[in-house]
Amino acid sequence: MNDNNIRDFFHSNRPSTADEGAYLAGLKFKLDSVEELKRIHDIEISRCKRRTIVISVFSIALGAALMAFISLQPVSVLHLDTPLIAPVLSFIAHWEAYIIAGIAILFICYYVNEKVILFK
Amino acid sequence: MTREEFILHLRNVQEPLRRFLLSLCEGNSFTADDIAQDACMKAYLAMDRFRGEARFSTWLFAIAYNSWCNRKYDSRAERLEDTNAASRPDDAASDDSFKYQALYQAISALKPDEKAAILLFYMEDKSIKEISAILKVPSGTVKSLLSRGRANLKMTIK
Repeated sequence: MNDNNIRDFFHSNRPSTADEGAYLAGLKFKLDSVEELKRIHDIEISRCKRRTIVISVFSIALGAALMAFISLQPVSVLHLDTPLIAPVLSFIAHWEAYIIAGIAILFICYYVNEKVILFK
Repeated sequence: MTREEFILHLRNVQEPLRRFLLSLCEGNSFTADDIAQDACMKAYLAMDRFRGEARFSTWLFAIAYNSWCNRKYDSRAERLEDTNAASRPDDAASDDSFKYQALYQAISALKPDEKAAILLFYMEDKSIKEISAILKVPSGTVKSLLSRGRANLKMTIK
């Protein structure tokens, strides 16, 4: 049996596919569903980005406020036990960048993971 | 590429694509169409990444072949397919399977990659270069797949 015989065999046995209309209707429905999912996904991603930016800005502002509080030692809060609070606040101020980064990474991981699961 | 352009491209390709997958699935039209639709959806989502280096049909066939491989080796999906097949008796598909029994019998003994190479070369008249792009293997490997497949076919086709 040569190459041409094999080709003839495959050409003469080409299977016919089922109803094209039903197939295309199914495909159209799936494409619509995918578009809708993609749209929701895009909205969620932009919302997540906005939240991350807000949290980052808020954390930086909070850190700056804490640093200002520690360095100025306002007289109005002298009744607080500052020797006890100061080390805690200075620890937070010192590690602020790492804390913010950690929170941001956890936040992003949580959302990204959620999206990946959604599209599996 | 807009959605309309994509569907227009798809109309020209869908018949050979479905036929190729139907042969790979050995007559199971439900699974074949499901894989074809999955491949089209993946292609639609990855439309921006299609740079036109290969033909649209080659690109879509590659995605479809990949989807078929994933489906084949995913035992969970296979179990699901069995359940679907059991719950949806497809009389037309059964009749067609019987009609093309000679074909399915001939290719059933081939390994998956040999089967794909043989079907693309002899049934869809694709070139070695195109098959190489679809199966994502070098041209030399395609030639040896064809050679091995041909040898196996000669034993089954009389």
